[in-house]
Amino acid sequence: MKLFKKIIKTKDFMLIIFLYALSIYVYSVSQSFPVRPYIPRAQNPGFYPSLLSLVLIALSTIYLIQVIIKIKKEETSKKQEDFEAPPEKKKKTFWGKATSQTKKYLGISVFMLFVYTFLMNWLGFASSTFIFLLVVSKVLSSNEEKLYKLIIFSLSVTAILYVVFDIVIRIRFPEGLLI
Amino acid sequence: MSGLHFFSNPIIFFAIFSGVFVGTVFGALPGLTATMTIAVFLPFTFGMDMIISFAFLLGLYEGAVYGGSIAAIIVNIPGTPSAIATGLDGYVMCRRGEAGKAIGMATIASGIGGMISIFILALFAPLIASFALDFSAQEFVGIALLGLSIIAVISPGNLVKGLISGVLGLMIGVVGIDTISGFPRFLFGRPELNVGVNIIPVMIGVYGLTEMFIQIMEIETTKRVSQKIKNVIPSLREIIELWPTYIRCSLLGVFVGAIPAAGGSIAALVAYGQEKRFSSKGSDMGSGCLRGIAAPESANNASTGGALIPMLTLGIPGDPMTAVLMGALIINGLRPGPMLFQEQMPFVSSIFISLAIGVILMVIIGLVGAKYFARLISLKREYLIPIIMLLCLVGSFGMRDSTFDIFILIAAGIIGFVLRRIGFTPAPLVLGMILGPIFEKNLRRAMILSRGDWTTFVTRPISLILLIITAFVLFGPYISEYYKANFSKQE
Repeated sequence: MKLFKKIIKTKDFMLIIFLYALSIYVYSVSQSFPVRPYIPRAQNPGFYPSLLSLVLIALSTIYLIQVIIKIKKEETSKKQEDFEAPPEKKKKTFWGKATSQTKKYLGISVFMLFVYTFLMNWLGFASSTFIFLLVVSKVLSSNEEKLYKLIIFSLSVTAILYVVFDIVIRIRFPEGLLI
Repeated sequence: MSGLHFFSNPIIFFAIFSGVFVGTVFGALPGLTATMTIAVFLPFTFGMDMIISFAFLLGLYEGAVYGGSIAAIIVNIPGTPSAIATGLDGYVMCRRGEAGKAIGMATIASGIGGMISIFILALFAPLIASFALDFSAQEFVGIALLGLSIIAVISPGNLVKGLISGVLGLMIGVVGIDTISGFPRFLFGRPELNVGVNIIPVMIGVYGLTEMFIQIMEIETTKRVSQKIKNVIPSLREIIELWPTYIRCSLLGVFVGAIPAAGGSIAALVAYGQEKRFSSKGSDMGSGCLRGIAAPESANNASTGGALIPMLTLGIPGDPMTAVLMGALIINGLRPGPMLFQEQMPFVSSIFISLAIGVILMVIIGLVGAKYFARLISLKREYLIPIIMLLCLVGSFGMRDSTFDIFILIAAGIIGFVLRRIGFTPAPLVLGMILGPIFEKNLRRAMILSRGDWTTFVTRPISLILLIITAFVLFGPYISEYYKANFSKQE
């Protein structure tokens, strides 16, 4: 039980659960694919994904064993140490060098990716590009850059990209309310 | 030389020049890898003639690998992983006020390494391709397994993580209509998935968007600096006296580059280490000498040609960059492998010629433009990041005019970010997606022909050899550790 609690605390735990779940899902769906009689098994559509899911289960199990061995080694080395390093110096966290501010920047940037996709269909390529560039550069500059500079930057880059992609390369962007 | 007639069109020279220029610019910017550069610009080549688009991409490839050395020398931050070793001496020279000379040597050594590798590529690739004509389904299964194993072993993090990443890539490749039975698999009601998950948005996502997310995370903790550059060319004596270094390291670079999944970064580090150990003046390396720049730069640019050998002849990418180039070939309806040399020899010849022209242009652009490229390093990231994100978005959309591909891109970017943060690398996943269709088709074909008998993979000699090499690659490090532990215990 103690070991299980330690495994749950590792960042590998969620991934291991995901891998098992994915393998079981793929295997069960593959087994529901039609099987034609009197033909080689490999000719059926479920053969290959079933095989991959079994391989993934095996690899996930090895990965789980590695995590358990690592936890046990850490326990043993902790008992042998006279001095423990402060917790914040021990391990690299998921967020690494990120601050709370940069996590916000990241969240806004990812959100803007979805907004851009929606805006491109609604307003058109150039308008959505301008809005995307302005908002993301404003967020990332953390209010240190003057707004007029960011507007000039966004307008110029939008103009260049519009000429290159819409006129030269002729990508068929969706038609929106504006350009 | 059957591809020479393509070069009567001046547009192809412009394409190579643009590719080298853009590649050098992107390669010089820290954090933007050569793989990301090629992945981001790949979709924009689809409207072009195939020869011209590939000429552009090869220019990007050569320029980006070379461009990484500029940032490595000036600010000790390699623009691309293959420039890590260059900074060891390059940055020391820069602090002495000799940044220009260091960049000049990097340019010249890159040019020489590139030329040697093209010569070897043109000589050996047709030979290997003719040997590979005897390969059947079983051999291609072995090659795919070997490619995936090598990239899993070489990727940072442990082997099991690399293999898991590779299998996930193979699983993504299952989505779509099964080419053998015609049955739809894992479409989730989306007709866009009939032809499978589009590999290009995934590549742009895991290499381009993921990198941008990481740059955003670190935007407050890493600062930009730049330096003025003057006097870019070393003396003639300094250039000529290093000729043994160019030759040794270029040959090493070609060999390492030809090992599937090895790549320029490993080639450069191995060359640096070998030169330091075996050269009579190797002890000077690390203290700011030209040899310390010539060795890794010859090797990393030589590895570009080397990496193309397994990609063109066997359909196994030599490094992540050639994996992206392979995606470009497949999208254009060409299947890399021995049949490419049989059916498309003019196209293959055009690749050799484009690479040679690209190397010459790279040297010219590097020597003339070094001063200006150095200023790029101080470009503010709040401007650069949104531009690159936009290129990723537009590139993904523009391939099939599909908003669905943008969602694939964003999902791939987020998944790539999470994987990177928990110690997985994207290379095995991308390679799994690329090799997946080849692997599945040949595995099932082999099983159908042998009527379900798995021993078919060990009864054919070449297939057996490939499986033994794969097993050695996977288990060799563990056996070696076990042997050392037992051997040292006995001592």
